[in-house]
Amino acid sequence: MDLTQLTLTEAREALLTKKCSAAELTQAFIGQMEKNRALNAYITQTPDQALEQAKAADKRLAHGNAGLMEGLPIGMKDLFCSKGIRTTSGSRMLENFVPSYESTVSHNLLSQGAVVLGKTNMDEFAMGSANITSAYGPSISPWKRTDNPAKQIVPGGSSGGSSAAVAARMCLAATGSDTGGSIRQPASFCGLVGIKPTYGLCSRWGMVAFASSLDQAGPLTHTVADSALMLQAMAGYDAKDATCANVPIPDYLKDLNAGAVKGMRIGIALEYIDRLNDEMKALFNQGVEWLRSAGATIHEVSLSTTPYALPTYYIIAPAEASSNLARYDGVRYGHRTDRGGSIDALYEHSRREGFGEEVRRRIMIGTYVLSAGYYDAYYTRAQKVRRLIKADFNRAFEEVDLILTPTTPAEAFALDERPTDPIEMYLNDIFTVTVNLAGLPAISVPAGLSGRGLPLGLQLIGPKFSEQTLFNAAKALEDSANFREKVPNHDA
Amino acid sequence: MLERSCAPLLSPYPSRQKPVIYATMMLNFRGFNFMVISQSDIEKVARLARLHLEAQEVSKAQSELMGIFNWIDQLQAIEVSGIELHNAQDIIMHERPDVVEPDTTVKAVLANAPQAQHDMFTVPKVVE
Repeated sequence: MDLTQLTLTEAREALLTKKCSAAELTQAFIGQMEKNRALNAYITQTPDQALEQAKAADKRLAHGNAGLMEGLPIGMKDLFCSKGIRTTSGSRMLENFVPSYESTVSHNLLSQGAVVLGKTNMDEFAMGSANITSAYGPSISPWKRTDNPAKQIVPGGSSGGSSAAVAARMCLAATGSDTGGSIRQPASFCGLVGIKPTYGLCSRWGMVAFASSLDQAGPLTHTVADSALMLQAMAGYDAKDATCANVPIPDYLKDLNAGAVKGMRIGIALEYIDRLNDEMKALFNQGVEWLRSAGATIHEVSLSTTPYALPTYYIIAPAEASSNLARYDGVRYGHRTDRGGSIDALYEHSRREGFGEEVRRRIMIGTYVLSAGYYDAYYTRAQKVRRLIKADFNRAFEEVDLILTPTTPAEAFALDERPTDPIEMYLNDIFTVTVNLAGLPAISVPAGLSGRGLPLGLQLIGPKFSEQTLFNAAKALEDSANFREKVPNHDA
Repeated sequence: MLERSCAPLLSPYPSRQKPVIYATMMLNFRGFNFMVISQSDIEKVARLARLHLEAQEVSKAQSELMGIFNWIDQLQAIEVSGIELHNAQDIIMHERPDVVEPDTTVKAVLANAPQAQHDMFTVPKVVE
């Protein structure tokens, strides 16, 4: 049995029924990580620590006190602070930063018995949609285009290392973070399930911050059941995060029921779909049919503020980022320049040297929109448009239970065909950013393959704290799509 | 300026893959109202952000930011009067008791310091 072919829930079953040990499972993934170094999915690998964790997990399994994630090897996006293990957030700025504490989300996973194989690659400070702004080199998807298998395909971003690692079976699942689509888009590009939960469901304490009113942690997994299990382990109230919601976390996996789709009202927003290319339109219509056959009713809804979501996001996110990244001043931690001079020279050169081009660009945008004379015209206006976007969704959810959309406009592009215009890169997030602005949960499910053999995903959006409903409908889509049958052997 | 707005349409991004929806957004430009960001604006913003810019980088930053802001400017067309601003995610803030709790140690904090002496961070002289 090739242990790396198991899904998270299958592996959990295998461990609980003693078909394999956590040590064997971990060793199998360490081997897979070795074979696939070229994909550059990990920034820091921790095989020795992982084997120690696996040993301890095997003891707990033997004693019958297994946690939710006991003995299951996962990847951890490199913006979750890992105590004693370097945490870079994909940046030179934090190249040698070793946190003295563990983020709440990674702590939750570890205390449920998870085995952490390493810190996965990501766009620098989570700013990007293709994992090409990382200071540690791009991450490459294991997927190949049928028309040109030599092309390197991007795994999406900013959680590109996580999506590449899971798709290439270098871990069972991985954590990601989503500020404008950074879990869902890489999931869609790599044929995985990715959920961004409701804002506040997971704690942001110990996550390297990008945009504080938008960031959320979530899992990237092979299946919906895996996602349900892992989200339950990650989520939960944390007093250390003042924006964390004090709500009980349901047993998502136990209550997972595709049959609940019967009678669900699914909304389709014309503004999302009227300009899709033929391939995406066909897939979207297929998704609608699958849900209809499963017993859902389909309703048109209007989200008229949709065209304004991206520019709104590209005011608010950089503004918040410019504030969050002001802490990187070369004084207390992170990169400090060797160039001498005044304190201002210290700040200016440390930041110039430590930050990459995209990060500097977004800090400039953010600083500009918050500066005197422009604050009202940009930042205040964007926050008001944000209220309009939220109101649009609130109105839609009075008529429907969930909304179905594509996750991305198209399949993953090749590394050497990437957009050179920043705005064109930003357009990758067109279907995902609205959800972060409104603070709502959304899940991407792999639904089919493009004409060139690359994964395409469909997204379901729900009202606040509707994760169970999302998982149920996503399961119905997954059952119909039968995507797992279409995944080729990437090692071949 | 027009070259800037046409750039995405001429990019090497394969046309079959091009997200068609952005074409509509480009057409939403009010072409008569391009905003201008001057070189001194760029220098001022770089200063505020404490980001060093080489002299030759200023004009590239200027054209990039102007392109982005001309795209963002489509938000000016929306009616927003009468919208009140509440907190962004309708969060209810929970207070905690004002009690000292164990947090970290000086040693742990200074472990990541670029330069430290006498249990403090060392920096260039600030006060003249």
